[in-house]
Amino acid sequence: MTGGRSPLRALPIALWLPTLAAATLLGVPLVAIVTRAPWPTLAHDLTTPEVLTALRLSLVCSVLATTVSVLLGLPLAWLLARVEFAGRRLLRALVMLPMVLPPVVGGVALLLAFGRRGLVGAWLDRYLDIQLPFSLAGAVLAETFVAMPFLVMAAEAGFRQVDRGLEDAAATLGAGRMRVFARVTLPLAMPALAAGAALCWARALGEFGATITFAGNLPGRTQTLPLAVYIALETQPEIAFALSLVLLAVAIAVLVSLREHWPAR
Amino acid sequence: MSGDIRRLSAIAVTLALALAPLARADEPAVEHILVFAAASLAESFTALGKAFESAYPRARVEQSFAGSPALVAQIEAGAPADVVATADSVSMDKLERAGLLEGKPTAFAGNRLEIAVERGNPEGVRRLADLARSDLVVILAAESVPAGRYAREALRNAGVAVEPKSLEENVKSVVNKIALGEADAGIVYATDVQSAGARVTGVPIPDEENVFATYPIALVKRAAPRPAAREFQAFVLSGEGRAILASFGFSAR
Amino acid sequence: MTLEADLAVHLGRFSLDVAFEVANGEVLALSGANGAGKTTALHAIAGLVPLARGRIALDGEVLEDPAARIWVPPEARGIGFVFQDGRLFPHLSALENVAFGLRARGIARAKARGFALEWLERMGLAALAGARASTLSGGEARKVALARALAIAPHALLLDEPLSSLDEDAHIDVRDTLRQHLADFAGPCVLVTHEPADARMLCSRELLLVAGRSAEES
Repeated sequence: MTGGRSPLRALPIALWLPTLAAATLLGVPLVAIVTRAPWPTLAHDLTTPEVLTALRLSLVCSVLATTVSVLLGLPLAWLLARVEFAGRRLLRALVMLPMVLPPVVGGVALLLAFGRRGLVGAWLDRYLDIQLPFSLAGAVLAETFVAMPFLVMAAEAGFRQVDRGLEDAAATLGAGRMRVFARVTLPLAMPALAAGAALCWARALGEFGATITFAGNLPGRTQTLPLAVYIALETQPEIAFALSLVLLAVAIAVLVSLREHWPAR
Repeated sequence: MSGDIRRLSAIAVTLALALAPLARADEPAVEHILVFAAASLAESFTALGKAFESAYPRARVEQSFAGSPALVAQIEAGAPADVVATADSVSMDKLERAGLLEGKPTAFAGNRLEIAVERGNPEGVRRLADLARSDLVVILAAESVPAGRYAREALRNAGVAVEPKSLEENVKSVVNKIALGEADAGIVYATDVQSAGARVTGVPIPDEENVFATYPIALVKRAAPRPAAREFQAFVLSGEGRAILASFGFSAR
Repeated sequence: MTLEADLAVHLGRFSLDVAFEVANGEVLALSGANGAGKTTALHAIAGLVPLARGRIALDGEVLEDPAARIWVPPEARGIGFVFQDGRLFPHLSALENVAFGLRARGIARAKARGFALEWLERMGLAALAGARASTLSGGEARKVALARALAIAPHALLLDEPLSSLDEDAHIDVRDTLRQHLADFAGPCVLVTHEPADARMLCSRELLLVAGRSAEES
């Protein structure tokens, strides 16, 4: 199997047949979105008020969700990476759960927890007059629920690979724990954190099941892009195709920006 | 190369064995039909399906319920439905114009709208005008769905402007969220209120404001004619079928 | 300032049990085979590894005493440390590395950079001030590490194999730099090395460690 053969020709049939099938399975649908997109009317379709509203709302919600994920997730990630404590494995499993939970189940769970009759939601409604379902905050909550694990996992990996010796060196130079974190740990973990944040944002942008179940569907308040695609598909498929193209482009852009920084686990 | 040939054969055999169950041997004994019905027909058509199967033991009825536009979109995309029943003629017309139907649609049932509120009506909703109250969480079906269009028509009839907190993709979703206590009120079909039983309370809408929906049923054009599908449609239109529909709150068309 | 080190450390299966004192201006060589506990001893003095038993005091001030429940964290001990691989912060420049400890003390940025630049000039490395630490050669990195540790004007200095893995020219060059600055340094120094020639050149006293215990003093 050496010598003048090109690497592809040298692969046994049992390898390139499934590989071809896999590439086709994954590639053809994406190619179809590009070829079936309504190119002639694209500019018009994407600038209707409804679409612009959904675009703006999606951007706002996904950025907010990512911000919350970073604020809450970084300390959690640091804890998981650096502190040995009983139940650490359990906590990590809990954090990873939304990643494998079907999103609509996530939506149901959010309803049961934060809905008007929910575990916490009832209390919020009665004493603080806060209703999360059907609100922008609810959409952000749904997106955060499904997207934060991506940030936490990437950040934990990032913190883990920072050389503890460098943190020790910083300590001997007189740096207290906050300074060590801010000036040594965080900058060195930054590539992994940025990758995690990018993935988190992309996941938040694409969230559908939990959003439509928990936050509902209202243009301008909770109808994010994926919901807009779903509704448009039934009556204005051209708009749905155009929006799908946009979301595909965003996904590709995120992946390209990640390149070598795919978070390891 | 014999090693590769052997491996190829192994793969081919495995694939054949895996796919074999899909190729059904002809079973003249049992005929399967797929019925697409609007969400508001969920309970009634389930009962119709069971009654049909007892009357015609040869047949097996599978049903899929969704908002009417979703059914239309799926059939346009080639879903293998045999019978379709929608909540308005707009959806059915789309299918007819696209040449996807066999024969003409027939109206088989009528429905009217009703306000659904939380069990016991704790907010004291009496009429459509109350839905404009700012302290109420009101949800409706999306405008692309018949129930949503009808609801807006009823509100227009009553001269009421409502700001819904959500536009649900099908009418059952509206009922469920009210039943769960997430929303205070919504406009759904009278049959939905009846089917939801004790989970919600209904507030009737006077005739002059109300909207009367007509439900059509039709056969979907298929490559191979399916006699059981024709029989199912006939069953729905028969006396027995209409009695079952009436028991769920549907009126004669 | 005298450094009094009475160290009993347990790390997994390994245990260290040694006691010594180093006077001002003295440079004590800690020698021994790999795994004898030399690095562990330095880490314990710096506060990076806790004592199981014993006492560490610098000029009478107790830095650690498990029996008396005293433990001063590393950042407050005022002990400079030159690590085995230099351990420069790779994302910072040579100048920022040297200025790090000064900034940690609250010295304003411009002033800290000024001091740092002076130190680099003393090492003859002013030209590399802006270079990313990860781009420095082995010898250059060691010198910057030395400058970084000295810049904070520590009360004591610890050096862990400062000349390891250097090619011959760099070895001689860095050793010269070390000799000059160790001579200038007023406080006690402990230098870990396994090269007898280096120990003789740089140190006034030697303590041999064997399997966590001291052998003989010379």
